[in-house]
Order: sequence, then structure tokens, then C-alpha cells
Amino acid sequence: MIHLHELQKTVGNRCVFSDLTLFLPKASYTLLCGERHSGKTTLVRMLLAYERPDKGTLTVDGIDIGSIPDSRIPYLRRQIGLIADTPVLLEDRSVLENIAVPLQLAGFEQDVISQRTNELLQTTGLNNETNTQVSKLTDKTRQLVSAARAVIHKPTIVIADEPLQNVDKETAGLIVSLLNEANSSGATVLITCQSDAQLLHLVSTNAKSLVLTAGSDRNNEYFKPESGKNA
Amino acid sequence: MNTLNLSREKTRNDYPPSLIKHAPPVLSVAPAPALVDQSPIDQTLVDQVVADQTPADQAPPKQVPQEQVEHSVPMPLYGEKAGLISQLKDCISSLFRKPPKVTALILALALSIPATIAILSSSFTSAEENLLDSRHLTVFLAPGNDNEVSQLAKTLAANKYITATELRPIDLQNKEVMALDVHPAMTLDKTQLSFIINELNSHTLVDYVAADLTWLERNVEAVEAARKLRLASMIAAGLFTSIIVFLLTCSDLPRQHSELRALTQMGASQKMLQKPLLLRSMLLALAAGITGTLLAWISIANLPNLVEMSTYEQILPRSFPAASMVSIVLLGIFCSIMTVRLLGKVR
Repeated sequence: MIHLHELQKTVGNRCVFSDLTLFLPKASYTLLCGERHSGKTTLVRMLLAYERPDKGTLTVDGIDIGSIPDSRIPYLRRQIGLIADTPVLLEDRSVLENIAVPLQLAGFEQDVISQRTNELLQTTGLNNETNTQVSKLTDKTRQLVSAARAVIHKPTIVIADEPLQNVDKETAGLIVSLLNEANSSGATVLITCQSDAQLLHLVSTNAKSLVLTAGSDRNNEYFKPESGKNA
Repeated sequence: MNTLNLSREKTRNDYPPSLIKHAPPVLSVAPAPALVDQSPIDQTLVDQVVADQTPADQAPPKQVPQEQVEHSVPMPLYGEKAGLISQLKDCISSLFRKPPKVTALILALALSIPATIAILSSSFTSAEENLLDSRHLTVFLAPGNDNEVSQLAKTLAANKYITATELRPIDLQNKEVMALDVHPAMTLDKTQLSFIINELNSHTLVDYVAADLTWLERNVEAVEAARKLRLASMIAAGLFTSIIVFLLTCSDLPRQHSELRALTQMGASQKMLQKPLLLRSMLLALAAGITGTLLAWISIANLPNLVEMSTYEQILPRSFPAASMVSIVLLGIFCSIMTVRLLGKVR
């Protein structure tokens, strides 16, 4: 689960978060909508421990991001699957090699890696591109590879930061179906987007949509963790 | 302050049916002209036309059975289960991929320059040795028994101002005469050399001492010059190599940075990042070093002979400069380690 409590973060001279409180329970499915510069990507970077909060607490699966030592960050990131808006792939490797990397990093056995990779290639329809070098793929296929790589190791949290840019409807459907399947397996899914219109008819029925706006002087709503759902 | 707007909590039911994925299409179809006649329109036929005109993108997709193909996943290259052999194989195969292949070729061509300089420096070493070898006095001996001659040679060799002696027969006007080549130390000046020559001339076994004191003095200068040239060429080779390897490493940085970023994002630790990068850099340096040195050696060995080989044959290299290659590779490894240490801090 993800718990933010009175989070404050300043980037440069701009205050991104002044008092943000949010609770996403385990296996929740959340669409976090917001306009540009509302702090969506900053939040994602903080969840992956690329940045730390200035004040407040940010807890991811029981780990306090503010105080995690640098040596433990890789272990945290192995529990999280990320689909970035611009996929970051191993350019001189094939699709198959890219997708298998998270399993290798997690230390899975070779037969498990082989089985899961083949299953995912079948599901996503990437069978014909298995040995294609990633640098030669189209943008939509690269994003699909990124999505497959994010879920193959069955992480506890899957974060998708505006994942449907530069993809067509079919690929969007495939990507969201991977997220739906991950959520049904118990992963906490968080998707950030500027507008949920494209997503709402694709995501699972239990998905909730929240809007993040910057600059408002209203107090935040506080989500009580013991209720197990958003207030 | 940031807010989370609860009032806009939406579910699937809040959207109008037209935006829902599987809502039935709304079509209006005019009856075909053939059907327009005086008799009432047959609704059944209209329904049939509507069904036939269903757009392709609303028709259910055809289920193309996909063949179950099992793809073989290569042995892990990252992570704790990554084996050294599989990583080495991957590094070797990566040298033959397009960018590293070009990088290796450029590096080899660039390294051939310092390799050439390094080979020439070994030639200066040979020149120095030859100059030292030519620094000698020829002592012509009077006929005498072998014991006395060998005793004289031993006495001279034991002298601290004499570095070596060599006894050899010389054919002098069809007459065999024994001669002793005496190599005086580099530190002796003209006065000391004159003293030694006089001492030798006074020996009963010595018939004549042939020595060119002027040449002996200039010989010292020539040896010093050869040593300076050797040192300068080694420094030049080292500098060239450092600059070339540094420039090529920097040119490969964007690709390496991208790879590191992807691996870091997936949770690779520092150790997992450094090992394959280091292996790849070392292999690249080794391949380029061997190729560059070979190119240099072949080019020098095929230079046209502008002067008599008998005089200058010792200047051209004859042996494979293993030391040059080792120094180039070591420098490449050093630059690789520095690169990895610089890039290893990517978050």
C-alpha cells in the first residue's frame, strides 16, 4: 500500500506539494488525474525513491521513502513495476531480453523466466517481434514492451505514468489489460493521466479516479487507512 | 496546496452509453433503390441490408489462432544468477553489434598511432644498445700463450672501469691476430680513457691499442640522446592513448547512460551495473589494443628501405612489442574503471 501523510516537496523554486495526504490500500486501482505541473510525475519519482520528500512521510509497502538508505533502494524498485510516459529500454537488446530483465534481477530460475516470458509474449502479441532489437520498434510497440516488462515479475505495485501517449487504441487496450490482470492478482495499480476519459472504459470496474490539482487553498481530505477504502 | 477532488469520483456508470466500449452502433440506412417500388418496404430485407453493411471495425474480430511458439530465453546477464561465462559471451557478441563494431574499429585505428610510437620507442632502445656496444677499444695482442691472454682478459674484466671484454681473432693481412675488445664505462672522461690506453700500451702482451677518443666522447652524447628519445616517445604514446580512449569512452557515454538508467529503474544494484560494463570495456580495450598494435607492427615492417639495412637494420623493429600492447590495454582498463565509477552513481 501507499501512504502519504502531509507531504511537502519543492522542486527548484516551485512548491509542488504543500500538504498532500493520500492512502492507497493494497490491491487498489487508482487513476490519478491532473493537469500539467500538478505533481503527478514528481509523485511517481518519489514513490520510486528518485527524490525524497522535504517534509511529511511517504510510505511504500511499509518502507519509509524519506529514510531509506541508498543501498536498499534497488530492492524497493524491484517490488515496483513502472510504465513511464517515455519508455526507457535497453536499446541494443531484443524484445525478449528486455522483458526478461526484471525476472533476472529478482533472481528467478531460468525455467520460470522462460515460462513467464513466453506467456507474456503470447498475451501481448509480441511473438513476431521477439528477436527484434528494441531500437527498431515503433513507439507503440516500445510502450507495450515497457508494459510487459513492468508486470512480468508480478510486482506488488505497478505505476503507470501517462502510459497511453503515442499509442493506438489496440495497444492501449493491451496495456490496460495487463494492468487489470496485475490488479486482479493483488498488485496495487496507480495510473497517472491528464484525463481519465480514455481510460475509464478500459480499466477494471473497481478503479477509482482522483484528481490532483495544484494551487488550491482548500484543505486536503484525509483518508483513514482503517476503513480500507477512500473516504 | 494540493487537493484531491472527491466530488469527481467516477465509475463506469457515470459515462453515457455512447462512450462505452460495447454500446450497440447506431446506424441509419436508406433502402436500396432496387427496393424502392410501389409495394411497401419489406422490413426483413432492410434488416438484412443493415446487417450486411455493418462496418468492418464493428464486426467481431476474427480469431486467428496463434501458434504456440516457445522462445528460448538467453541465460541471465544481470542479477545475482548472472554467470561470468554468459556475460563474457554476451560481451564478445556485443563487440560485433553495429555500434561497438564501429567503435572497436575506430579505436583500433586510433590506437595504431600510439602503438607505432611505442614500437619506435623500442627501436630507440635497440639503438641505445648498439651505441653502447660500439663503445669499445680494440687491443691488438702480441703472440703469446693462451693462459697469459686469458689472464689479461680476466684482469681487465675485473676492473671497475671496464664493463665488458671480448676476445676474438682478426684476420690482419692474411695473418691471424688475437684482439681484445674492451668496453669502458660511460662515466669515464677523456683523461681517464687516456690513462687506461697508456696502461694497456705498457703491457707486454699488448701490441697496439686502437681507440678513437673523440668518438668515445660523442658516443656518450648519442646514448643520452637515444635515451631521451625513448622516454619522450613512451610519454607521447601514453598521452595519445589516454586522449583517444577518453574521447571514445565519452562518445559511448549516452548509450551507456541510457542502459544504466533502464537497469537502475528496474532495481539493479551498483554491483550489477558495474560488472557487465567493466567486462565489456575491458574486452573492447583488449580487442582494440591487439588490433591497433598489429596494424602498427605491420605498417612499420613494410616501410620502404631508404638506407642500407646493414647500417640501420637494428633501428627497425623485429620483435612483437608485447610491452606496448600490455600498456595500452592496461590504460584502457584504467579508463574503463574510471568511467564505471563515474556512471555508477546514476540514480
